Amino acid sequence: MSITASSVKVSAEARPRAIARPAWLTGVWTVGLAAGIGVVLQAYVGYRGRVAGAPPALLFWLSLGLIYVAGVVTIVWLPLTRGLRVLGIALVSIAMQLTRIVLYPDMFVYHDELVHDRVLKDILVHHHLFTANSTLPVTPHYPGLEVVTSGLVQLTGLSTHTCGSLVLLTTRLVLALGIFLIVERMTSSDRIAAAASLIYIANPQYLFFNSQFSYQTIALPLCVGYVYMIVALSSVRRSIAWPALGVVAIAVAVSHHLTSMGLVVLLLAWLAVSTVSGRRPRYLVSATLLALFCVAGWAVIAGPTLFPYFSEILRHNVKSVQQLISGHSDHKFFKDTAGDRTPVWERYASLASVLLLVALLPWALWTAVRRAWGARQAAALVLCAVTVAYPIIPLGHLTEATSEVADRSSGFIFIGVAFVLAWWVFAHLRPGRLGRLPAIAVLLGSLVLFVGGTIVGSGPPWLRAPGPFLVSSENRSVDPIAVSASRWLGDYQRPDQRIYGDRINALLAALLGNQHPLTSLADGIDNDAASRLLLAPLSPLDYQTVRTDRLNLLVVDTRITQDLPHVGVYTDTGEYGTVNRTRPPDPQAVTKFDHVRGAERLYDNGAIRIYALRRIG
Amino acid sequence: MTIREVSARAALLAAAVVFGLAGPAVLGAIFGLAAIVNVGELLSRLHTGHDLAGRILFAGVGVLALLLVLGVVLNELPGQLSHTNWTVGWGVLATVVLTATWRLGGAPRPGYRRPPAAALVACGLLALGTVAGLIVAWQGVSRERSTQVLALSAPWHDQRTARVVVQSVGVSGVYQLEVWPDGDQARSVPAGEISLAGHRSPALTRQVRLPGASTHWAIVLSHAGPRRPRAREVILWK
Repeated sequence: MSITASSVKVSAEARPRAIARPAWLTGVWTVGLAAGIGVVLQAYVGYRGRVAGAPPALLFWLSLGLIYVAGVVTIVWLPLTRGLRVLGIALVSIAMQLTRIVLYPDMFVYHDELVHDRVLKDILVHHHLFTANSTLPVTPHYPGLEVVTSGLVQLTGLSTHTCGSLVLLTTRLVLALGIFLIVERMTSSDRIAAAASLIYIANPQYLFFNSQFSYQTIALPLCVGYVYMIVALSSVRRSIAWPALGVVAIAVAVSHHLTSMGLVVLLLAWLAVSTVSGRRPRYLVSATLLALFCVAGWAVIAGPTLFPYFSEILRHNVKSVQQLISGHSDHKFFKDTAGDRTPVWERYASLASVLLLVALLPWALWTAVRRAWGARQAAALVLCAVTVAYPIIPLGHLTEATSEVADRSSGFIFIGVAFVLAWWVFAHLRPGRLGRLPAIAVLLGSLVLFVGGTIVGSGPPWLRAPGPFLVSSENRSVDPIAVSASRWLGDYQRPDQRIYGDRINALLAALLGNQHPLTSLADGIDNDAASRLLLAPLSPLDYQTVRTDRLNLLVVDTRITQDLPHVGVYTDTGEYGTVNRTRPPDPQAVTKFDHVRGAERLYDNGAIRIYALRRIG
Repeated sequence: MTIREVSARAALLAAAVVFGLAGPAVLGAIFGLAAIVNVGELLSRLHTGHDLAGRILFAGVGVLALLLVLGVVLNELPGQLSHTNWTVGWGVLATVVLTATWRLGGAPRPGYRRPPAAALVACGLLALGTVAGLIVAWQGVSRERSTQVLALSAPWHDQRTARVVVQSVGVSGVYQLEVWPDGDQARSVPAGEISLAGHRSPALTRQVRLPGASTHWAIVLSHAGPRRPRAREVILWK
């Protein structure tokens, strides 16, 4: 069964009657206006965070909500032409990405972004792929995002951040259009397709993780594009369709491991269901085989780094679940490891979004399955199956480790959720014929989904915008003081020296300082012993660690003595003193190498000291 | 496609290659972006439907995927991912796409109509908001970059001298460099004065003599004045 066919009675022609509304609210330009204002307000949030030290939280949510609500009201509610509806979706999606860019317009600052930025830098400096990256060894082997960005840098001469931002904007556009077109093909309704695209924006990872300069950000849109191409190329001859699909299949395979594997599973499911239903898209078999071949082939190439990475994640997740079952989990809801609490209204909003979905999805899913089964729509059935996985997202939040995996799966799962929910809601409701109260209820529901869903996936409030320095906290640990120390490493130290430091300073040392941070994943170091160099009083073990790990440089950010780490650890998993930690390390422990024979303090900017340890002992 | 259109596109690609290899940076950027958009438009013609959304999707996916696969292929060639290889490689690839589209008779289909005024206004408003947002954002960044930073470092030394570097942002005043041998708190050797201008100053480098009889030295940057509180300190060993 092709996803092009549909027995659904909702169609693009079935326009609702015009509803009473203010004259100024009749055009797609209101979306442009709301999006423009939203972007400016987000920029102001970032400005206040940098200048006044406190990003205004209310304005942050109001500006995002303005873009989203304007999108829902105009694109879904009003009787627009299909073209304007598509434009509206594109504008909302691009505006959401622009809100990220104006918060950090000069550099990528999140943990994974710093890792991928280093991979990009390696490609631009060394002119080849697969340069080892100790901070996350698997990333150079899935260099899709970096290859595209480096190509753009080389072809245009623009800066890496500008080119990275352009690539991210393109991926956002592709993702929005892809979801719209796929759902439109299945439901024959551009209104339902627009609604699905907007519901997808409410997924926990959309605004934060999947907008970052990180490999899944490009892989997911390519996957969606690939699925659409399978259908859209049906009428094209094989000599054109196969190369086109092949190029995109390679691109997906080279971009991200889990996303590309997810695509293969999805295609296999689609192939199985469509074979049973007897209506298979023309190129589904070849596209599935192509994807399978490319993804498996690339996984073999990346294997030496891929499997340790997966096993580390698996081990960490299993351990967290075991701790949960045995009652020893120290995971706390709505509170980070330094004790920062999520505001009460945000907790209720996130819970409301989960409850709303839990309440609506069974009905929506049941309706969707019946319709898809009746119409023998294989793709719709597969999306229904994907939707069934939704409980993974809220249940995953029961432990720290599984919450990360669960949130990341939401990029995939929400394609199904968005389709099923939009199909159910807008096949029943004719916005033009709704009373005032149901209309307000739907609008409020969509706002709760968006704000609550974004809170679920965005982590603690400090993660969302610039502000004063916080200890071990991703974006808020990247400040001019840390940047200047890392730049010094790049300017005055020979590259690729073995260095150890806290989580963010080690990443900055890799990116801006061209150094080689030691990690247990890449270098096999014992992080318990290595982290004692930073966190524990001097002991004979420190000398041994320096020798065993052949450590040259140590970056010490003395500010770690001011607070507990906001992301659970100062350095990495398995560090010294993680269990029942109640206070930050002792200042004397942090600066102990000032008094060690042979330890040279090469750099001091007041907060950060860099030691050369190669001559101690 | 007409011969005229093919020629114009070929000329654009040639200009992108030439300016990319040897032209001014601005022209290289403009023609480079234009060549990418040009290829995207050609790839969009693979979409057999009549709607612009599908074609934009094809253009976006096509450009991303082609750049990616080109990069992987270039990595296997001599010179790998150098600027020259990228520029020439993209020129060749774009020419292949152009030729294939021409030979296969690809032509723009309906959907290239002039967009309605509301669409142009909407895009214009978002563009305006983006420009204003970037201006506001950069104001914040430049304010943040003026955060006071004062760093003292000793990137090189031997047993007689050390090269000392002072980097500062937003710090002004006169500072004193001193060398304290063997951690002795009683005697120091002056090593000169440093005057900082306030804004982002270039790094100041000084050669400092190290007293020979010591095993280690502390080089201290202090505020000039009678009390001379220590501001920054590096420690070097013989």
